[in-house]
Amino acid sequence: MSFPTGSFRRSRGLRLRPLPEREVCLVYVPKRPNLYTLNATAWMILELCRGQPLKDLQAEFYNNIEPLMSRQEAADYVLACLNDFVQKLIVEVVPAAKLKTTGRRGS
Amino acid sequence: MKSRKHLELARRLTLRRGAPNAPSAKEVPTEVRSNSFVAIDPPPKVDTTYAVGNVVVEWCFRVPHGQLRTFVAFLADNEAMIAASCERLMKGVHYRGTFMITGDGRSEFRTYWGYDSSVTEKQWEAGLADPNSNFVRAVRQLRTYWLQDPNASHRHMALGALLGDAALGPFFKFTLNTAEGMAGGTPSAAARSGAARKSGRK
Repeated sequence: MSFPTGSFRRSRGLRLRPLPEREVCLVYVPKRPNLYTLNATAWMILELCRGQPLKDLQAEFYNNIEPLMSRQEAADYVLACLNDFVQKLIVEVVPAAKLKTTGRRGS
Repeated sequence: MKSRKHLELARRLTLRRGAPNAPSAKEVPTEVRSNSFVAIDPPPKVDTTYAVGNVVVEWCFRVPHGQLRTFVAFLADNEAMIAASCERLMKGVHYRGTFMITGDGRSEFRTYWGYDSSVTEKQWEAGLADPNSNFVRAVRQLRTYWLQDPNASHRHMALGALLGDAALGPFFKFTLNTAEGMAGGTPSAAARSGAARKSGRK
């Protein structure tokens, strides 16, 4: 799956429960009721999802973890993670046109 | 504001492992019968291979000027063998070299041994089992240089990042809790939960 256009934000109604002592975050997805354990990297990517397009998200993730990975490696991590998140309804893709009319607010 | 705090926390947890792990979102299997109990694996141990050792023992000693050349030759002949023997005979014990301290002109040397945990020091029982082995002979010679200096020291160091970790044994955690108590802080969550378990409270 690829996301040439559109932006990413958390799905509506998502519930997060950080468990720092286990280095994970529990996420409850009400749309298709399910509970997921995110490791710290996935959790950080989810926290970054505030309605930005893919390129911006990849750049923000890289800025948070540099110099531990190259820009390309960081971009690959974000893309793989978003693919997974979209399939699991943890984040939703907002078409670019809709963003213009509703503003760039994340949920 | 809360979101920023969460981002900062997630970032801190990601970076504490060095290079970030691949992102993962695992489905949590839940059962009605389990009374909503969610089993989450404990995080893997912190990788400290960047350090000399989780526990480091330092022998500090001076070598008389007249023995300096012999000592240096002894190190050149035996150091690699000592290091390789440590890896072969003992688990979690590593020879990290003998260094000369320059600056005061007193031929001071420091030998460093790295250990994976406090308990791995017991591995020496296996390492020293054969008194006639090349390894034991070399370590005996090294220790003899140390013994000849009446002001020699033997220091024990622990990796600061692991003071609260089980790898170093209970004493360091106890020290942390005691320091916290002395500073007037509240006991750590771990200490509290331990006390609660003891008293049978939930």
